[in-house]
Amino acid sequence: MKILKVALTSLLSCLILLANHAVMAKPYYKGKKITMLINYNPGGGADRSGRVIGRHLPRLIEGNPKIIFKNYPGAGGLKAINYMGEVAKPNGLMVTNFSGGYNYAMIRDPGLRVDLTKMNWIAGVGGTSIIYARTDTKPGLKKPSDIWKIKDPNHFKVAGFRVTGTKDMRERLSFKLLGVKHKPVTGFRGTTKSRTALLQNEVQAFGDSRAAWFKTIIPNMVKPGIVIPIYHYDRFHADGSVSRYNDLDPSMPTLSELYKSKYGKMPSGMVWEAIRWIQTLQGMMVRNTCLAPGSPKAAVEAMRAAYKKLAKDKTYLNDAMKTLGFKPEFVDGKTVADRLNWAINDNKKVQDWLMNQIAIWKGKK
Amino acid sequence: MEYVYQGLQLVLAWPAIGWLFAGVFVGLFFGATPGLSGVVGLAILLPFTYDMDAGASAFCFLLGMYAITTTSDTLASVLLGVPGTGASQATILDGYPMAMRGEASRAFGAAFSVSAFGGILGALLLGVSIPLVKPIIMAFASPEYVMLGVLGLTMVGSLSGSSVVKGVLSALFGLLVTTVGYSIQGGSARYYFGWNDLLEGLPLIPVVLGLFALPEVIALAVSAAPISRVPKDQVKGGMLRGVKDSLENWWLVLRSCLLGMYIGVLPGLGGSIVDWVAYGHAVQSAKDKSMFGKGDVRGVIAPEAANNAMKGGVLIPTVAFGIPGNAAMAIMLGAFVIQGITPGPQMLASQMDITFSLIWILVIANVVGAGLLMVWGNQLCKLTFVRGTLIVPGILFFVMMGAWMGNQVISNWYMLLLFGLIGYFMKIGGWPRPPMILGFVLGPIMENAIDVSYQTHGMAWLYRPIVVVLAVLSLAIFIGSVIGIGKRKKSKVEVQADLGVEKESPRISLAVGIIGAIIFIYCLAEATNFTYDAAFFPISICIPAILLIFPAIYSDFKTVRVSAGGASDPVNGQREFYRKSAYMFLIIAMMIISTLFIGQKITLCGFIFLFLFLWAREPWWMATLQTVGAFLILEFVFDQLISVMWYSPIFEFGT
Repeated sequence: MKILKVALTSLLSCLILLANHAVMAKPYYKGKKITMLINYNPGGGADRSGRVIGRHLPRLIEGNPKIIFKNYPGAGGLKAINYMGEVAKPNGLMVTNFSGGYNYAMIRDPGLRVDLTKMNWIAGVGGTSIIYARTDTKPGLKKPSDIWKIKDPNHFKVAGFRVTGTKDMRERLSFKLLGVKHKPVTGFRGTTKSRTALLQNEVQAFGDSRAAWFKTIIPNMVKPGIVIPIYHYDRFHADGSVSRYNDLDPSMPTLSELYKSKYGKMPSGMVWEAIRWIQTLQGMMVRNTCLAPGSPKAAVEAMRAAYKKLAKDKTYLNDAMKTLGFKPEFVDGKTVADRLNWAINDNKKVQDWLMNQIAIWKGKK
Repeated sequence: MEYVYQGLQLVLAWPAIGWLFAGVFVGLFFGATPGLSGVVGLAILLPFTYDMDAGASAFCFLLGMYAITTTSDTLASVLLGVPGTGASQATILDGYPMAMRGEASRAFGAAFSVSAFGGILGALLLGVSIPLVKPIIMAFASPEYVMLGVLGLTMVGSLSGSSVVKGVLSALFGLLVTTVGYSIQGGSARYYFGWNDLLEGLPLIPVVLGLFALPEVIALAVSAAPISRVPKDQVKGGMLRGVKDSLENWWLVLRSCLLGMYIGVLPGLGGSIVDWVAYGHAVQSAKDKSMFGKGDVRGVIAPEAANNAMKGGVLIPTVAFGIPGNAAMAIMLGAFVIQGITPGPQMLASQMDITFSLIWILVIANVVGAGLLMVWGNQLCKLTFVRGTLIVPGILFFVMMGAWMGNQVISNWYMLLLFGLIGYFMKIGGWPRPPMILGFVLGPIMENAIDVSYQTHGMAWLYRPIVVVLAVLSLAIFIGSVIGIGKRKKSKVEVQADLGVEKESPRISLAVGIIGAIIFIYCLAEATNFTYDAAFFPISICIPAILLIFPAIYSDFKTVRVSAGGASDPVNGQREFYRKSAYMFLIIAMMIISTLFIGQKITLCGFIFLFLFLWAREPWWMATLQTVGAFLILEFVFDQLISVMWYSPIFEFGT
């Protein structure tokens, strides 16, 4: 009888344990529907990259949830960012595929109402920009180092959008660093207008993303001999070192390589620090993914794990290659959060210097 | 010829042809529903093409849908006075008055036939022009865009009715409101009053719907009469009469198509101005202008021919150079990339079959779409004979959802209400509204182009040959318009290129003028605090506006004084109309407040039921039927299909 009692108690305990384990082990996303929020219009880079991810992510998230997409464009992506911080429910069911956003925090834009460091960062995709220029720019550019032969800034106008944008800031700073005579032209309404202006010789230089470089600029402008690449921005590491993006043509120097070829040393000083500051974030979160502040830990962990798998998933990477023109390089969520915190909270000196610089560019000083 | 044939084969092959028909059906819906548009349609359909086979299937689906939206958008513009898409704003100026005259069928006949013709011509011109347009695109840089904007503004003369001064002031006000938000050059915030939603500027669709649709909806609700003021049995002519009209005006159709196509070719101009330019051209070139704004079929023909021809035009820079001409083409560019095709010169060299398949898609979609609308249009025209109060909730529902789409922020509804009030008072005060929209559309293009021109060329931009030619042309057109207005005044023929302004109220006109003067003076004073690049454009607008507005105020003041302090003012005889109008504005304001608390779905459905049951005194089953219909549209179209971001209210139910 005693043996039977012990056996029954043991069996019951096992059943309770098993049931408990089953509940505990039920994946967070099992049977759920995730909305991927994209802060730009359909068809653009952010949208395409998000939808490619969305096609592969469900099979990589434990519980295989469904994913639907919502485009919420406006105010240069700001609306969706504010929405994510202010309105989205902290249940892990809304995940972002944002383009940029950190730039508003960098320049303390009044339109940004949320604290980005409070988001639950899942992953980021780094990127660089390629600066290219017309070959018929006086006195004629055959190779990147010819930019120092330019005598008149009016012969080398660089297209930009808005002085407070990361793109304009970087380009203004980098040509200043290189000591190239140039004239920034601000106010082009998007890449289309800028590229048209370049073809019309209204401006002579412009910077584009890697995706655009491979898919549009090489076939339409490099191959016909209209432009040559001048440089691409370095990849900045947390320890202060830099490296190049290996999928780009080896003959295309990085900014620091181009500088070194002229001045014989690595760049330094406040201008370089500001470029490093901007490009550190650009290099790891051109596209960025987060969950709303306060989302469950289980959701954050499941999503981070899925993105980790995605970064190495061959099917996804091949699909991305076909659709985007390159294989995205992911940075994990913890690193994104750390570096974002470093950029926003530990770099006040550089930030203040840059804000002052922007005021000068705007003509307020 | 081989490529032409190969392109056709690609389109006619299965499943491409099936996708083309599917696209056309979807496009009919997206064009006809205010608030949706070809761009929204492309955005929704694009993901479906990710897994489509190589060939023309994806383009058949997307381009088939996009091509037809500017044909079916005529339905809402004519029947409801609400632009179906941004490209049919000008159509309402004469389309809706035609519906009020019981001639909606005739307007449809004309619009659908010229739309089909415009679409086909645009497509054929696309085929012929690809090798020829490169010099045109390359020749039109920022300085030329400035002068194109100026040329567009000369249409003000045609759209001003009897007062060119008020027309110019209206256009200047339209230009001024485009300066709200960040200046694109320096990122300086202007006139945003600390309200972040305004940093991006005022949204086009709520402004247009407010100015034009809301005053008409209110008039319909107050009068309770059908849209058509002519009984059904007295209506003469139908679709065929409209088709005949378009044949009789073949020269105008052709000119409008060419305008549409070449405006479409220039990146960044596109759909939002093409209808206005074509409309302005129709008025300018007409010998008898007396019926424009009152239901002249030429006012429907010109914009409808142009906005369909534009579709071929915008494809040219996309296909030939990989430069998308407008937002829709940016999405199409995404579709090309997804299909592994890189638009640009190499596409023209190596994938001419695909290029010609695009032309065939435009041709077939336009013919099929227009044919279907010809068949269905007559049935829809019956709506104009239904009592007004029965359709007011439905129209207001689509007006509000139309205003919500795009930015999807509550400030869109505030803007709708604000510009509704502005439009209402402008209408009864006799201030022309179309020039304001023209200014609103052209403002950002011009400010940006002036700034970039100065940065890139200095003052030398003024001496470029095309700039000089366009400047001379603009001046000639403007002088011609002013002389034309003077002649019409002498001969006492009044042109009223505005909606339904029958009796103007000098007192309201005076009030509008005084408020306008205060706004211009305030904006001028405020602009002095901006940086130079942010201040240049608003100051350039405010100074001439202030110089012009005081003579206009004085003229109205004299009129009020002559009419014995306004004793004979038309306002006096219609107090009941204005009282009820005020109630309607109050109801709309209450809807917005209600949304803040309980959200849009409950508010909109609740409004429909209460309006029909209490205001219109319809039976409960009718009120319930429409409410359920609205709920289903909100749930399945806007929520499930379009994935609208709803306002997050204080009290949320069932989410």
